[in-house]
Amino acid sequence: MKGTILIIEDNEQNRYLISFILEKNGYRVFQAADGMQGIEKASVVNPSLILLDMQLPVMDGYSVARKLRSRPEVAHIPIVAVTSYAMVGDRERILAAGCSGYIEKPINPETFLTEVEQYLLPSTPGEGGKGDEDLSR
Amino acid sequence: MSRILLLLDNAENRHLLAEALKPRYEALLLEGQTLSDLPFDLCILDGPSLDRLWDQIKLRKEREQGTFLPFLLVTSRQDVGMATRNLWKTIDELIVSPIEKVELFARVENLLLARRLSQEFHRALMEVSPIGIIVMDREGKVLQWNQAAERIFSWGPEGRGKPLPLALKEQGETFYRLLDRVLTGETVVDVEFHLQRKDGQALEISFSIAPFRDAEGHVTYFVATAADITERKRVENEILRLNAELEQRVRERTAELERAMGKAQEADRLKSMFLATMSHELRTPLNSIIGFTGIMLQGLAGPFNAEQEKQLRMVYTSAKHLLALINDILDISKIEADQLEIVTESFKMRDLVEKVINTYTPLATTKGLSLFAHVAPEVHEITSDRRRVEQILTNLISNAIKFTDKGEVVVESEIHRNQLLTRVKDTGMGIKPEDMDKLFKPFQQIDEGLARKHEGTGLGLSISKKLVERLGGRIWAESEWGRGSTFTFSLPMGRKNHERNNPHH
Repeated sequence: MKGTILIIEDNEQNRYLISFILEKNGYRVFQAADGMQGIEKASVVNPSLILLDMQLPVMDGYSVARKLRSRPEVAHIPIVAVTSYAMVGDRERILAAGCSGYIEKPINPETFLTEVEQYLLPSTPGEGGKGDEDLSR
Repeated sequence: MSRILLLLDNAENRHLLAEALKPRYEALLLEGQTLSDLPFDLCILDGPSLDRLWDQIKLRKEREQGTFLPFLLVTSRQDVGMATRNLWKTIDELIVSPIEKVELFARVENLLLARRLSQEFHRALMEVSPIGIIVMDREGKVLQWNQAAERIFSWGPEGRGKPLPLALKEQGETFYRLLDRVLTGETVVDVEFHLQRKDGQALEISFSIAPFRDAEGHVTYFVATAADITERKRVENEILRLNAELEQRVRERTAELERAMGKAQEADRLKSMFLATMSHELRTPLNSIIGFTGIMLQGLAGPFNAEQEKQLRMVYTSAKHLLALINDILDISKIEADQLEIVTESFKMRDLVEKVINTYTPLATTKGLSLFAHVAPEVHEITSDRRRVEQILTNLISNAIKFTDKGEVVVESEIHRNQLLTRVKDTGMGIKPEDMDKLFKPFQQIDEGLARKHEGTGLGLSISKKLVERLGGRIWAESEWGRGSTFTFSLPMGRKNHERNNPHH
């Protein structure tokens, strides 16, 4: 198995789509339907990467990212925003909230995997949980 | 005829003078030996009468209020010393007896001339002045005034000997304080008084007052001017009123504008919110459609037969087209709402051109077109919005392929006058001259008959134009109908690149 990825996304179809692609490509996937659940799961499963929807109900993606960054046990995990970012300043706000990068919605199924993998560490393709060692960038 | 008053105790001299002067002047001989109120132009007197009349002479001179009233002393050679001491205080000139006639006439004529000059000047000034001129005694009672003063105060001769109208009522105190100041030698200018004319109309006066001093420097009376400034004050007040009105109007208008601005900002905020929501809501279902058809076509969920795959590919292509439409419409809306984000970074133009060429090569190949690029060697990195430059280039290349059925599509990139020029040339149908100016307008696909054949939003060129302009460049098209088109856009190089490249040129 290549690594563990946590998806925080409220839309069930999107969650299913992303996890389907990732699982078919050899990743272990955990899912959370809202921010609170996502933060809890991140601490428990210690994923190699978090894919975070920014337009979440109740607690939005920005708050979730900031919360994750403030918790020492999960602060090192790269967060990639998945967003249909639209307005002036969204891009800066995403990075300012602590995300490592973003993938635009709707996802392009042809390039999605490549886009995700560039945020995983390049030294550990296909070596399972080992990726966790170097995630401090 | 000038009147000469003879006040001589010496009878011989008196007689002699009277005889000598008679033919040319009116000589007045007074027995009582006092200075009467009779008007005269020159007084000739001798030592004894001067001694007796000294005080009267001084008073009489003061009463002249600014005109010269000469006194000529006849003195013996022994008394010249005493006479000289009096000179310029009471006596203006002297003549030594025995009197030489020639000398006498010379003195008399001189003194009369001086008097006439002073009188004429005084009279002319009083007459010509549009400003009231008033002479007052030390108590502020009017001694003399001109016509202008009469007009201003609507006075007649009854004004003589009375205080000025300014001294009356509540302004009296101000007036007398003013006089006290002037008595100390000060001159006061432009004090405003408010009066009522006899006809009840308001009268605004600018009043100035100066002391008039005698030979010893004592203030003997006051000379004052009064200007009617009613009209000036009215205009000033009118201006003040208009200003206040204008300010009030500006305040009202500003408030209106602020309200309008608030509304506009609120509308703008709603529009932005709407855009963000639309962007999210429209893309969310597309995420599923494109995502699932995409992965199904990748075979991740299992194999299809040929017909199923063909149909699914149609769904996939349509969904992608729908996404392109939504993106274009959102782009136009964002540009119009000034919500378009420009993020500049340094990137290699050559890589970007290659990337877009690679993306479109399969489509070009399918149509039997050759698609290639010439990027000049001097083109290195530019500083601009990479995503937007890619969008522009994508628009132009996909258009070129869309409207070209045979031949080639060539992308050229070079630096010209510190600008990056990028051209997309095709050998397609070209554009009719009459359609050239419609090209960059939104929702215009020029040949409506072709619309079905050439699907698209009609927004691509319009968006590209706005994007290029936001990035500081220009876009234009050249075409020959039936032979092909060339679309060119320019981009500023960005400072970094300029510094780096300059030494090479």
